[in-house]
Amino acid sequence: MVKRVLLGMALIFSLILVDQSVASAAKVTKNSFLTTKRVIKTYNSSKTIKVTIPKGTTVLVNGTKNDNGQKYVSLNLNRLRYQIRRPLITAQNSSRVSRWILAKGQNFSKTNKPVYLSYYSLTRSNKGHALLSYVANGDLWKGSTLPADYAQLTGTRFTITTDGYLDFFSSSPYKYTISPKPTSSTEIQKSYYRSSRQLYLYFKTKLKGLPVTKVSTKGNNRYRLSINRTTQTTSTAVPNEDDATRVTLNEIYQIGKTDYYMHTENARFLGED
Amino acid sequence: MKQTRRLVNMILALIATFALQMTVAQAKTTYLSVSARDYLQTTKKITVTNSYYKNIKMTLPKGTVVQVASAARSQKTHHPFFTIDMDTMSYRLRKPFYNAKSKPNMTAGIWATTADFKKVDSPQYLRYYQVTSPDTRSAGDYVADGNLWQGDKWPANETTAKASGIKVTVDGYLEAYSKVKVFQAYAPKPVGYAKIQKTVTNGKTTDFYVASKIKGMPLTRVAKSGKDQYRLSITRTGEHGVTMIPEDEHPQYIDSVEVSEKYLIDNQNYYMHTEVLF
Repeated sequence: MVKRVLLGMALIFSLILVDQSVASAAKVTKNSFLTTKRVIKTYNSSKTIKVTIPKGTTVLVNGTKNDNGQKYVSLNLNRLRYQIRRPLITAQNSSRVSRWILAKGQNFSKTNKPVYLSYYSLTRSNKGHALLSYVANGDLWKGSTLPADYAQLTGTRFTITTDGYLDFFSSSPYKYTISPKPTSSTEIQKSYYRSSRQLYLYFKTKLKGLPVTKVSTKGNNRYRLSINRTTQTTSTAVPNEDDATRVTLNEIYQIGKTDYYMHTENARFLGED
Repeated sequence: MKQTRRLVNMILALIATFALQMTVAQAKTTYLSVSARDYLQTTKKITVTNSYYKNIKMTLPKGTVVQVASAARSQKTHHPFFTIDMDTMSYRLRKPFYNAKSKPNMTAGIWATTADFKKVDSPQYLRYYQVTSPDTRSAGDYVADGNLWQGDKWPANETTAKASGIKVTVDGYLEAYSKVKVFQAYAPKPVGYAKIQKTVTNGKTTDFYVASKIKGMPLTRVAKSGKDQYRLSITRTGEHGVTMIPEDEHPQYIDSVEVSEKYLIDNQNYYMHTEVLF
């Protein structure tokens, strides 16, 4: 009798445990954030390159799928710090996305969008404007306008990885598949979202190429970078203003006194059919 | 006896109700369900007024094509009504608005009744600038108004710039404009106009035929007599130009992006201001 009761309780318990992982998996979608609960060994989507993601890494979900009642996620490997994405850089035509990984509590826990990524929106609705597409990817380029022939050029940029590093590139091609080796990569110690248009990031060391304010002589949060999002914009006509097939929207940020911009939208025109 | 009387009374009551219903049916108005950008044609001569003040009357003859600017339903009766932007109509009809000091553009609400209007397809003479679903597809706002201006693209000094151009009105008139402001609070007076007799489309080219010369417009004479004597050829290139309008206080940043669609008339560059982005 006691045995049967205990067995019953054990059964209920296990069902509850299973239910929890299923419930949390159900809320994971594209652009969800996850933190790895263990070392995850995976591949790029074409399964040609092995990538190892350490335990405790915050990753961005690129896509989800259901197979045989199980949920799988693919991850954006390009938005991870250099040490992790390194194997993909030397490969020819590597995709930025991982293979499908089982979305269960053993592998991941769901987490909120990190504060250090609050300097821009991951998505923006284009409802009612089918010819407009949102393309912001977190890259901030030095200057105020994307050059029209950007596909052949390089520029200075920095970006924040999903796992909390600031990657700075003194010269990066505008067009790249996998983000190349940065000039410097510095771990973010603390982030503070001061207002909807100002993000403070704290570092242990000075940053190469970016102006920081020294706020403390000890501890981890000694140097502060302020990322200021303005309401101003510029636009680039491609290939040129007199004969254009599309325009970009470049949103202006200020880092110290210097303009940086993010290429956020592409617009095509009516009357091209 | 009582029963017969009751029966007679019942029959009389029935006939009376029936008769009443018949008269009510004859007086009943039927309405058209209309949406913005729909084209309608007047089935008889109607009078419209300007919005708000309602002190300027205009007559639209029977057979006039109009475009619905905005459509709504009466809060009280739920009957549909709409407004017309008279700037889209020929000068000969909108003259009372143009001559008025206040220069209104919009009419007051007009009941969308089947007695006054019928729905029609977009007229062929307007298709030279037609686009699919502008209100759900444009990356910004769709502002095309039929005006084709001589030049390459919308000017950066948009509030002061002047140009010459041509326009096809919703009611089928070809109008010529000389050195008028491109940025218009109201449609100006044309230097010449004529009713379009025939429209022929050939791929990207549209030919408009009129019966007489139009002052200010380069027409080709194609016949010695008849209604289709003079022709204007418009070619839609499918190409676009973009004008960046700078911010007043910080001209290194932009206020808006103005898109122009390019056309050719007699091998000369013309453009239509089609979209405003960002």
